[in-house]
This record gives sequence, structure tokens and C-alpha cells, in this order.
Amino acid sequence: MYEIILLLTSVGAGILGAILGLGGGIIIVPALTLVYGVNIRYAIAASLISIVATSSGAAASYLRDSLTNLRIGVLLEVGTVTGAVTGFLLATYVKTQFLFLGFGGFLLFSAVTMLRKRREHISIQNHPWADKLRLDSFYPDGKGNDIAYKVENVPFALIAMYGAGVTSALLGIGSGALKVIAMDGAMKLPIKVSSATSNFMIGVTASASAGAYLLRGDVRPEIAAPVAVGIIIGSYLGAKWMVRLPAQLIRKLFVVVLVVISFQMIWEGLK
Amino acid sequence: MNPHDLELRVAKLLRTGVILSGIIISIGWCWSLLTSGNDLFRFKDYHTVGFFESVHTCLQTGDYGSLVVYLGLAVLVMLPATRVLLAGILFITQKEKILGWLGVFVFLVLVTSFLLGTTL
Repeated sequence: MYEIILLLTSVGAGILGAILGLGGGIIIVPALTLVYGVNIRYAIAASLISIVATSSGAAASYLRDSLTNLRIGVLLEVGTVTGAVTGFLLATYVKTQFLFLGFGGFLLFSAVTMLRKRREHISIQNHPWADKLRLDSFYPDGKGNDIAYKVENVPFALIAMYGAGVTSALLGIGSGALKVIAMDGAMKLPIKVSSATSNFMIGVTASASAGAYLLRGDVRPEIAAPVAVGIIIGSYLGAKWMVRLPAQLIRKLFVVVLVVISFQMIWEGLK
Repeated sequence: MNPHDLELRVAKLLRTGVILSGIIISIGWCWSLLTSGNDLFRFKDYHTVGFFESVHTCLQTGDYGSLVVYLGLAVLVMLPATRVLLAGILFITQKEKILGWLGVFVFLVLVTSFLLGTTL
């Protein structure tokens, strides 16, 4: 019976994730630990599996729409996957209570970034590495025009991606918020391009540690199966219903929920 | 092949892979629920049983449902790695050597990461 409820919870997480542009990780880990009493290490592993599923599905749509910059994605994945390997190694030695505290802190950070208004950038100057690798490109504005953009500050973004990779593997999240900040803020990519490219990379980052956790035995089929299936169904439904649902209202309500859950996770870590 | 064709090919691979793994995991999970049933509450405490040992136990106890779930999970986890390798090879064939080798490097880091799971 609880498995069916977990499946339905994951469907809900998938729908919310698709509407709010978040991975399901920040919903799945608290649900598994606080509601079902699952150990946070199993929860993190199951969450990473669900992130691979949602990101791969969403990445396919963004690629078709020509919003993803494949060249930037491949370059920055060097930072995220090496970070993910570090995060996996660290996770072995980090105590459970610190995982709760770290997760609670990250939820608060996510709540703040959700309230932040993203400013549109169009950079006119390339970083030398961007010139060398021809990272600048065009994106469709939806009105039939192609908008050209350049790419700044590539080395800083690579370092930030390493940090995002560590966080992803440690806490079982996609670290999309960190990736988007680096691409918006440092590289000055247009919002649509950084969102799509971030989503494209999240699956690779998560798979680095998800594969390691799977082989170590932390991915339990009893937990990961309903979570993965639920998230796949939920993200499909969310993408379909996105236009009809009041996304702004849901976003504001979800920020409140995030803050409450973050305090619960921090409390769990302090116990 | 032009870059857009490459992107479409990668998109198709990802979409098909997610659907395929979702179907495999669903079949395995239903099978497992019908034959053995699950109990989420036994996962309160953490203890490691490696992947290959778990697969061995499933074979011995006849828990084929969990085996099918493991297969689906493996397909899902391998999807991004395959995508990275494919993108790397295609960049190399387009004479984009730096990006191509970066793709291959990312693939090798992914494989190394997976293998770390068997040793730690």
C-alpha cells in the first residue's frame, strides 16, 4: 500500500518539478526521509535516479527546440562530472546528520533563488575560450527570429560547475539552481539557453553518482522503482498541463512549503 | 551530418531510452509487488549490499521482478553516458577535436565513477 502512495507522491513531484522547472530531488528526498522514514542515503540514491529520468526526458524536448547549446553542455560537463565523483567520495565519509543539515540549507537557498527575478542578458563579447571552441550561437525567440549571443567568463563557470557536481552527488539533487546562476550570472547566457543547457547537463551530472550508488547497492529497487516510474509519469503530465496551471501561484506556495521542509530537515539534522 | 541533425538524433536517443527504461522498471516493479511484496520501513537503517551481491541474491531467491527493475535502472543510468559518448564521437567526426575529446573524457570519468561504486 505504501508503495502505491510513494508512486503517487512521485507523480506529484514530477508534475511540480515540470511546472516549476525543478528536478524532483528537492521533493523526493524530504518525502522519503520525513514521511516514509527511509534512510537519507537510500533517499539520495533514489532521488538521483529520478533526476536522470526527468532530465533526459526534458533534455530531448529542449534539444528539439534548438535552445540547448550542446557545445557549452559538453564543455561544462567536464566540471560537473568531476565534481560529482568528488561528491560521491565525500558522501561516504559525511555523517547522516550533516546530510540533513546540508539538504535543509540547500532548500532554503532554492527558496531564495525561486523568488529572485532572473534578468535577461545578451553578451556582445566572447571569452577567448568561447572563441576557440565556438561556443557562441543563436536561439529562436519564438517569433521566428534567431537571436545571436556570445559567451563570457568560461573558466569561472567551469569552477562553479565543479561545485554544482559536488552538491548534486552529496545531496541527491540536480543542482540546476547553481548551474543556472553560473550560466546566467557568469557566462551571461540568455535565460532560455541557460535553463535548457542546465537541464541537459543535470542528467549527466546525476548519472555519474547515480551509477556509483547503484553499483554500491544504495539504489534499492523497492524505493527507486516507484520513484522513477512516478517521476517519469508526473513530468510528462506536468509538461502537458503547464500552460493551463497557474504557475506563478504554485511557485509562491511552493516557496513557503520549501522553507517549512528546510526547517524540518535542519531539525532532523540537529536531533 | 549538420549540428541540428546531431541534436535531433541525441534527442531521439534520450526520449526512447527514458520510455524504454520506464517500461522495464514498471514491469519489474509490478512483478516484484505481486510475488514478494515490499516493505519500505525496513530501509530505516543503512547497510550496504553491493549491486552484484544483490543480483546474486535475487537469482537465488527467484526474485526476478527486482532483477528486471535493476535492468531498467541500469539502462536509465547508462543513457546520459551513451549520449555523451555519441556527442563526443560525432564532434570528432566533424573535425571538432577539442570538444570531441572533452566528450570522450566526460564519458571516461562517468565510467570511472560507476566503477568507484564497486570498490567503495
